[in-house]
Amino acid sequence: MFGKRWRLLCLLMLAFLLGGCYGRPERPLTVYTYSSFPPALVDAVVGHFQEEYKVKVEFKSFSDTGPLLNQLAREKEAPQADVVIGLDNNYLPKALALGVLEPYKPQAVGEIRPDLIFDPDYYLTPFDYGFVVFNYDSERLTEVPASHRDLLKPEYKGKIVIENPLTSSPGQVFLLTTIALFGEDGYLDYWRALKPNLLTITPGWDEAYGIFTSGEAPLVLSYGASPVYHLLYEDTERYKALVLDGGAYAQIEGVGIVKGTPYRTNARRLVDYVLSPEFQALIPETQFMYPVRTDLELPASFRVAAQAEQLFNLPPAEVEANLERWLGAWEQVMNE
Amino acid sequence: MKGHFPWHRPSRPNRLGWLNYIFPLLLLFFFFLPVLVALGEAFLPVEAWPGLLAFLRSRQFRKVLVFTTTEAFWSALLSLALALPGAYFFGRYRFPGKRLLKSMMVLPFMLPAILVVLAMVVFYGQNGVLNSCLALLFPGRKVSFTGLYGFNGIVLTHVFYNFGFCLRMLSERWERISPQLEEASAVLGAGRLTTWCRVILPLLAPTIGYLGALVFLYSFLSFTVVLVLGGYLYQTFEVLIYIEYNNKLRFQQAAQLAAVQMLILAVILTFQRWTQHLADRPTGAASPLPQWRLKKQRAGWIFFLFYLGGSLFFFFLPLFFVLLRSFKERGRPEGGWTLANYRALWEPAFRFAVGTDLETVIGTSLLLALTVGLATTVLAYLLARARRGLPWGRLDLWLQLPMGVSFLTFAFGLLRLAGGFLPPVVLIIWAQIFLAFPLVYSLLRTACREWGEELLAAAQTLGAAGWELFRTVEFPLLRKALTSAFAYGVALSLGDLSAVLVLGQGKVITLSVAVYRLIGHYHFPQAVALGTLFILLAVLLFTLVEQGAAGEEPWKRGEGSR
Repeated sequence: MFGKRWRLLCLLMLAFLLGGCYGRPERPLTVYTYSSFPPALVDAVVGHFQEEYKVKVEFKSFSDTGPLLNQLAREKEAPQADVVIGLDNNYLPKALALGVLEPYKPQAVGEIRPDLIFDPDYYLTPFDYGFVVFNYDSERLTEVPASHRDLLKPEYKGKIVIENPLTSSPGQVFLLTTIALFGEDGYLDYWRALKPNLLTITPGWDEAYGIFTSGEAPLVLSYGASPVYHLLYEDTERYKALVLDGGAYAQIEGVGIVKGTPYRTNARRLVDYVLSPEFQALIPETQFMYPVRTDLELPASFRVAAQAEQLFNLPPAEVEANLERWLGAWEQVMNE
Repeated sequence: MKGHFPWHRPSRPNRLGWLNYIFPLLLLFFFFLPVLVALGEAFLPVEAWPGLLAFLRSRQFRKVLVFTTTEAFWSALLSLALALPGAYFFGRYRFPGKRLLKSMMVLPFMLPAILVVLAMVVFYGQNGVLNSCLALLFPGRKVSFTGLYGFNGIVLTHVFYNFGFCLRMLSERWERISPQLEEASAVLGAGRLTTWCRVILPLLAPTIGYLGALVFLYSFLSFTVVLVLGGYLYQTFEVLIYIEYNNKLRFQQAAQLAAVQMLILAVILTFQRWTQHLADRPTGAASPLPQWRLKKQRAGWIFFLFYLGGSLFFFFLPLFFVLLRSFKERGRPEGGWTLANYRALWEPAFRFAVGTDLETVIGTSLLLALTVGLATTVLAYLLARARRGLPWGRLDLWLQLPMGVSFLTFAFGLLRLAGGFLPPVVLIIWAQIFLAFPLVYSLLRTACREWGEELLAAAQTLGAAGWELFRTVEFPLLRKALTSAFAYGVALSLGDLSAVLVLGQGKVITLSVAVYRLIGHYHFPQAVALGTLFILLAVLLFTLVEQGAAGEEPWKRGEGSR
């Protein structure tokens, strides 16, 4: 009757489940990253290692940097990854506190733009960076702001979309920008004044940029290289990046080696490859960030990207020590 | 079983106690183990408790609780109130285009949240279609809709999400209420209002209660919509949980919040159980629906056209306008017509942004959705069949509880529990079955209960058994409920993003993931094009399913003579 079939089905399902867990071979060289890491860069690494060293590389991606770091902490006793790509400058203190990385000073250190090196001990080495800046729609905005104070003018009421510092990394970088510019005493007043000009605050970049390009708001918090996409794929310079107050806060992404990796040699090779001219040259038009090497020429499309001479970056240790408090105060002010 | 006579309704229909009790317990085990893993961390350490108490006393907690409950209450009330009149027409009549309309009703359910949000912005936003229409209608006067960003916009979007689904579920229920009941009531001298209040409404009440609870829960657990439209002013518990998990990396706090949320939702579900108690009423055998006659029911026709026009305007046009942009150059409304955005889906740029080609993405999504749909339906059916003679009980309530669990919490718990040894695909299927099971089960539970014991017992007495019994008796009777349940399972799987992102390790790329990846590479028009393909595919799939459901209904044979 039905029972017999049912028992058979159960057995089959069990076999399927067990089959999944049984007989896994030795794990390949494993890289942890976040889910939006460009597939083209993954292919470059995998291809290079296959060709050069006959080594299989596997990428595992996480929904965000937070869960990635958590996974590393969880596997501390028996690491399941060897290299981690994409922890940015603001995550360095957390990673150090968890003790999940080991230092490695790559061969190409001399070629990296010096003010980007945010970790003097090389637990994390920068491999690309970008500016978090406002972008504007030149067809809908006539009066272009020149400073962060300008954004407070009543003419921008309901015209600005930003990301939430609590849920999104560009949002968080913007909060840090205001702290870098106006100090701990001034940033909350700035936000109080900015509030009426914000159309909305979105959880992530996707929604903010979608609202921006659908013509709903002419100013959006995005990246310095965003206009490059529109130039490359839509052949338009309608959308432009804004450098306010002559500088910008940089989001610097790092690569590091997982503490206790059984494949130290290959992990180091991987870090070196990520900093090699070959890989660095791929970054601008795949990741839409700047390469960290100073000896590379940027592609022509990058003439529309934001160029910030001055970096507003706060020291990572200061950020780590205060971020939670800053975010809490921000949340309170926004809820007033 | 042989000892039972058809007219003798046994209290325990199934002697296989293990199917009746052990099997559901096993299901519960698989559903709740990941949740327990996540929650265990929250409550085992003693130092965790004071923090929780402080949170419960905080102003923030009260604020979030009040906002979330109010928002969810209005979303549920409005979705149902708007769906009820339509359910009458869809449940009582046949008319051309009905099948297509019904297929369209589940669409918002499966769309990536970002497309829904964009649809709302494009239509209801400051520079949206609605405001252009208002400007045309009232030139010179400043009439405009400005309520999208705030409480009203949140409720509006939740109604947008759930309205069609409520309409569909309610009309499916209404179809099963025999019109002869109304006729009988009329013959006995009851007026239309009396008939409605005393005959129809009590029969619909359990479904209304269930849907109300469901929409309430979905809105309670809402995330993207609340954040995008609410800005900084409004937060749900799910938002707080996400922030704790993702940004503050305080897993203990996140799990505690999830536990609090679960408790609140358990209360709601208990209420829903109470409404399900009322479900044990005979509805009479369903009979063929009358074709709508224009001449006889002119007033009804006009009302229905208004209703349909209104719902299409407010709930379908937003989707339509955002999808329209995929046929425009660079996705701009003022641009010329083009198919370039669709061609781009087959070009290397797609692989470049998404990581694999379009065929693989569609194949993965379909395979995953069909597997989840089938597995959930089979599991739910077996259980519903085994428990068909029992009234809706505590165990059934427990099986509804996945609806009240923060899906994020479940996914993280599952990752921790089994992420080390199970392949990502298995984890995703596990999570999506968890997601779809309550709805599918409740549908089949009601259906199995309605057809009751007698028919099955009669068929068994006549010698039918096993597969043959299923094929010849049960399946034809339950065809509609089974296909509908299957469709909902498929829809929920297609629409899921969290499980795939959290558990997929970047190896499983479904349509929703691809949409997000395209957007992440600034390919908005292509993302919308993919969304459009997604919708066409889904409509096709569901129309086929509907077709299957309408295949041969046992009572259809006598239709010609009516």
